[in-house]
Amino acid sequence: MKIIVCIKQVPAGEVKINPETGTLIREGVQSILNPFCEYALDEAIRIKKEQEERGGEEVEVIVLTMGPPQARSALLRCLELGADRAILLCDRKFAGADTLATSLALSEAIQKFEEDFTLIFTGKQAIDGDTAQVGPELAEHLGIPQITYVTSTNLIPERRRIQVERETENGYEIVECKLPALVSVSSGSNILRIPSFKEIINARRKVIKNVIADDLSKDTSRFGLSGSPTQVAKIFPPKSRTGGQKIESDDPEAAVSRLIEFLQENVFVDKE
Amino acid sequence: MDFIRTGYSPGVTFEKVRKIEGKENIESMFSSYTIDESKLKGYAEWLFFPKNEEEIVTVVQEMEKRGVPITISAARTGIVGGCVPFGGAILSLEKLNAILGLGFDEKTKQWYVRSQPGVSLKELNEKVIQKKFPELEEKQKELLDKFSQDEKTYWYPVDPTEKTAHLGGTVATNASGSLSYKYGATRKWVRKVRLVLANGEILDIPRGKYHASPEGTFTIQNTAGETKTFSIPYYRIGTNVKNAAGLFTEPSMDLIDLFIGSEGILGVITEVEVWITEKPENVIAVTTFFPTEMDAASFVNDIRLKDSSLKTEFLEYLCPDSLKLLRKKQISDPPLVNMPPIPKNVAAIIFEISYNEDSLPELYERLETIAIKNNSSMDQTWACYEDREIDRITAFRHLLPETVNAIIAERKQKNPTIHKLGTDMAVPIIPETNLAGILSFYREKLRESNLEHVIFGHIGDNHLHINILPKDEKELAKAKELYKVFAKKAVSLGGTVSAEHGIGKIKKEYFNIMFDEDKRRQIIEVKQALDPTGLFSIGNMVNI
Amino acid sequence: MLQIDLEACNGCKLCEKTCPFAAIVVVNKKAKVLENCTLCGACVNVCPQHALNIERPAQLSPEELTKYSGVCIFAECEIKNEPQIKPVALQILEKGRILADKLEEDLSTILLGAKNSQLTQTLISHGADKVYLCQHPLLEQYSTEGFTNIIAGVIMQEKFSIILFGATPTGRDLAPRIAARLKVGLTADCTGLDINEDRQLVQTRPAFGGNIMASILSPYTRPQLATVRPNVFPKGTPNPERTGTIKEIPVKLNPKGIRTKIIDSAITQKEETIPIEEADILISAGRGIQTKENLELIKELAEELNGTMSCSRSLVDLGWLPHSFQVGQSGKTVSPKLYIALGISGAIQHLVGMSSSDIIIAINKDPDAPIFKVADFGIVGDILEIVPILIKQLRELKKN
Repeated sequence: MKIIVCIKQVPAGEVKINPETGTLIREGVQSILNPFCEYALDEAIRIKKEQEERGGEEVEVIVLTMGPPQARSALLRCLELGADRAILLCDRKFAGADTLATSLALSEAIQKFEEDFTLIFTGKQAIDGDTAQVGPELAEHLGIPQITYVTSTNLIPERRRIQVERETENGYEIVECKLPALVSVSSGSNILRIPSFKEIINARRKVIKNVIADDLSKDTSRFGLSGSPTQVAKIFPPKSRTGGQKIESDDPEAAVSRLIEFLQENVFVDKE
Repeated sequence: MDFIRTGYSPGVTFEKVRKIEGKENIESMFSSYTIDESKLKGYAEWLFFPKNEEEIVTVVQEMEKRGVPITISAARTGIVGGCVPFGGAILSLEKLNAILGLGFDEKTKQWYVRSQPGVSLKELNEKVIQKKFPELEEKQKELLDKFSQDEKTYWYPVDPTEKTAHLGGTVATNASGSLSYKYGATRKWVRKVRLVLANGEILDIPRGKYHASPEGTFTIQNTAGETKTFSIPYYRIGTNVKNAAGLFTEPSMDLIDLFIGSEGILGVITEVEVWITEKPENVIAVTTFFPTEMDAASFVNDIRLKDSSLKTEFLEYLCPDSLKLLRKKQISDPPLVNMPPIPKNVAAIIFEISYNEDSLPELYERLETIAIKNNSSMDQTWACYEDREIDRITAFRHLLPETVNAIIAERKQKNPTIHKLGTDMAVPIIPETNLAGILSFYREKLRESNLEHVIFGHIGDNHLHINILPKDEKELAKAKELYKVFAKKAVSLGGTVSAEHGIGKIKKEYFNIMFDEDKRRQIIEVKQALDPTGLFSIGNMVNI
Repeated sequence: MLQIDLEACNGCKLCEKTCPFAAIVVVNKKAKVLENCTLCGACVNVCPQHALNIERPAQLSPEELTKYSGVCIFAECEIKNEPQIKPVALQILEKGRILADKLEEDLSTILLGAKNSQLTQTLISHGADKVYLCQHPLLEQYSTEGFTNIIAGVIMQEKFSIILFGATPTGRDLAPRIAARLKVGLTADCTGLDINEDRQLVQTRPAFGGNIMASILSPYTRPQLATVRPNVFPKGTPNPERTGTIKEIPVKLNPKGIRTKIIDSAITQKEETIPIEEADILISAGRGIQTKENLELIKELAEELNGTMSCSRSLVDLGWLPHSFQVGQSGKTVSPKLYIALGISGAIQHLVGMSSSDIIIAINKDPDAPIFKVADFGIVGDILEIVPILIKQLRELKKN
């Protein structure tokens, strides 16, 4: 059984904008595996181990990403955490892709190389773009059902089904779905794994396959910037608020009195 | 040169200095200034917030005139009551919080930072690591450019856990922490100290300029031309043990070392220069588990003594009882512990080591060989190299003392007088048998006592903290006796009663085990030579 | 136009069972498309033989672009005792009205459900010119596939130029599915919408955790799809006199066309508590409260000020409060009249969720905490010391 985990590499810290040039300042920002993708991978590895323990069908976990050459390190991270092998879609022709072009490239790679998959995991969203679109779009391209905002899963291989718990706005629901399917994982209560030093070393012996646009299709105009219906017209820093008065509380009682006066001025507290 | 002149500072008018007067005012509005992390509670009649050296001089002269003792205070993160006053004035240096300059020593090709004492280690390191000093941009533009073009990342490698500690406080206490295993304590990093003495005059001491005479004396001349000669202590403390107890001394010692770690009894630090150094680019933090404590100890010896090429940043220990406590916490509150399941019945060594990608497999093989020899394996480790993961491990380590404190706080509700008893002893790392020896000794005595306890800490420096958790008064009394037994044992091995916490006001009982009356007299003589009326930080280290 | 590969087709009838508009039938073991096909793509998506295909051009010609007109809003519903329109749908309806007026085009809505046709008037009185109403028992509960199939069909028939969804869990599950089916662009979580001189929709959204704003266009494809962040736009005042047309779309749904099945669901958020995004006064706690027990202190203050308690991400991560209390990028956006941040340092991810509050008060130990940069009033101090004094003084004030 093949489980594919689609992941993304994201900046770990804050990316700011240079107000003069309007360009992104990325210096000094480490790149990490998107945390929600890590939850997704964790769920896939958990299923793999569970199947091993109960002597079920062997599970192969394949991580897939599209990104620049540096994205290898995010894939390596996944291999350390227990994935079996990795695929990197890396080509200038993929660059500048919006969610539609990204999901299309991912779907074609899956159809081309891993068509016999059972399950696809994604994180609910990436912490840099926050769109939460690639997962559902990928499911649509592949014509498979999707379940989003999932917090835990229960694979029922004998019935070719998966049962999941997913967050709703005011609670949760249990959803059952036919396989193959795509599941997008939100944080839930997972405590992330930490690899052993041995796993870190072993990961360096696993395969990361490089795929270029021409490997997927003759019509590469559907990928990258040229395949993206949306265009970024401009980027700019958000409007900022300016701070008001700030008092150091050498004297907490007095500071609180001033606060109460402030609340009274703004009619949140009645005057005496 | 054993001769040094003090400098003159004009001072300002006393009225100009920001001050709070009266015990009640201080207690009602500034009570946090009469307590530190030891929770020892004091009181004071004056509280000063000087903004610069001149104002400090003014306070010192005025208090001297009025016969009011001064307790010097910084971020109050200490845990031995060093900044806690019992009467008199508090001199808080928190407003002297500017970084004054960046420097490059052409001789040693090393960068350093000049700073006022009230800068926190957190701020200092953020600026050094990011190479961003907005306050210096105007006056040191060229040097700053040179610094930011330097491709290496730098840091100030002293980490006494509490990063809000102020630089001045860490110099006054010779602060250390887990990183001292590789980088040494604060002392090694101090390039210059500037102080106000009890007579209101200034001492400016760069490292390497003033050394004690062959007879072990220094001579100081004040601006009036009067000279005074005093002897440095002649007791000896082992050189291969981490120590924070007593005044530093050695033959032909550097004058600067007398003040570093002097717990504020000799003068007020107004300025320091500290070296900064290259921060390793890649480090991996490995938590390794062992079936027994002795396996862990033997692993530590193999790492630090057998293979000189394995230079770890630190080696930290968590005993089986520590892990049991954390595992209990993990079961009740998994997100708080935020770790994979903690194994049962094991001891752990957490170490950090720098690496580069190419040599990683080789490093692994060497560590694996040592681990297997000591009944462990790199297969049963938690290995972290991303910043956020290393932060996870750090938080996990710090969770232990926090958990202990929480348990004690709960017990206190029933027995308000009980408290935790934490030891701070270290013994020399050579002979090799010292580590296993002291551990076996602790174990035997703890077993006999039947007191609840955990052992953890800086095992790389043979510096283990035993925390005893008494349930009632009777157990507390028993624990205190045991503490003395441990202190005597550590001293008998050439070790120290305090490797990092210092003595302050609450560890003097143990200090006296290490420093007999004669040794204490040697310290008092230095104190009286520099501060004849007993103005500064009375009650710290020695009783006068 | 729907293309059928007759060689590949094996007559399994899955397309017939799935088509929500009864526009495809299997005759003599081969699929046959009828005239009422909406090009919704439901059959393409489920065909196991990959025998069905709809060519959707990657770019439209200028002439084709002009064939698309009108703004359409997905009228998301919720059930609170009885079905009602979600606040976010009314908010984007108000914004949609402004956009439609600017374009001088119609504002439509799509309303799906089992028994909620009574809500059409609410939509009209909030500005809708047309309501496309689809009623079917299988539409009572949201399902990705059921909703996608119908909405894609209506969109393809009506050729709207702009379609807006609330960026709710449902909206964010549904919109990308529709976008991918129609092969068009979608902008997530917009906080600004406008029409430019080329009559294009300018979609503005925060990126990189709110550090950067981006304005996005879809110049060559139609419709232009966007999800809109709740509580960014105000909802308008309804005009009960307003009239509009209701167009009922007959649909035929088969449970087989919906591959996910809800087995159980539970509401864990209590009814009586005001959701944080609707509260006027929020008392928000961060890591500075140190222990879970200190939440009681925050609750006490909230009671004194008639406010609602919320929190920063760290408390949710620790499991001290449920996710529904979380303000910020990965939580909820709030814009109360008063926001009191207690022991919250104010990471950018938090600030984007609350900086549109009318008045912000911050109490934090760290004088350099970023929260002070947005606060109208700040106290540098330990909340565990300040808050009890604040409660005490508020109580004294009440006594007098």
